[in-house]
Amino acid sequence: MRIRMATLPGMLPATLVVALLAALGLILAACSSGGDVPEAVQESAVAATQGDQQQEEQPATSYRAGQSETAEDEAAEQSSPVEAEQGGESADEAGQTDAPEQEQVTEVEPQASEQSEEAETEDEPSADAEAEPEAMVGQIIETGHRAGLFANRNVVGNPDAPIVITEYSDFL
Amino acid sequence: MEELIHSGIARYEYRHFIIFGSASQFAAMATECAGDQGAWWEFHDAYLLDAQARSFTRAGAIDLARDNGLDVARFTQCVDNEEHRGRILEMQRHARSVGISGTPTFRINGQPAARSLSGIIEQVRAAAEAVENQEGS
Repeated sequence: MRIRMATLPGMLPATLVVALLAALGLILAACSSGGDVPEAVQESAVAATQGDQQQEEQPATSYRAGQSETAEDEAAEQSSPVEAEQGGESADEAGQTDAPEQEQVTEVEPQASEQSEEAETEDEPSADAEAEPEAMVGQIIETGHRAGLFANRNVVGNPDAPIVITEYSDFL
Repeated sequence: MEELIHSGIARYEYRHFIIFGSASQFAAMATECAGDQGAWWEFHDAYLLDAQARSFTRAGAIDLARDNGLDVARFTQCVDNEEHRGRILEMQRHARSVGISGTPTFRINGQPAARSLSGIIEQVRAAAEAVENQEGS
């Protein structure tokens, strides 16, 4: 029994189909050998790469956000606008001149340019690293490093001294 | 270090950085209220070293005020009205803005300090020498 290939109306001739397949094969060969890739394909590839990078960065961002959810945040959130104003006045008393808006920016970008102590770099001590300073506070007190010094509230020594030793601490 | 502070080259500052919640915040506020009457460091030392004071209760703070010869009524009013809450929160915001995340943390002229007392003293001495060299040149 013979099967005859007939060209029905609406069907492509067999030779044309063969020619189209050959052309498609050439295009695929050109792509696989490093030929020019259409711009649309390049853009989608870049977008996919950026997406991957963002996914990699996400855990770090989430960790930082988690870090900030500490008791001090809760305390800060409880403050009313009036208290915020009081805080600004208190900052001036403490010799701090930076505005809360600037601090907010600095919190997001800690490496942003600032002056003097505001130019401090990120230095988040580990739990191990904090163990020694914990004992050090008591040592400073017991060895009488402040004995007989001029003290005004939370500052000991010359308010205009060029060297400032700052302790950030909690009583508990 | 004491010599450097006495000579006016260095000063020492304590900043509240509350990480243990309401009891810690209360102690900070009580210390500030004591500071109104010139007893800031007495409260600071008691809260760090005195076991009885470390109950961090209102009654304990009032006892401490009485023991230090403060005007108890004025002190109590200050504590009850949380008069220094704003000051403490501002210290807190500032500390966080410069990257402080744990306690105690020491900085020298805004730069991270050594992790030991001897290391800090060395850093302060080096900074003092740098200041003296600048003034001499």
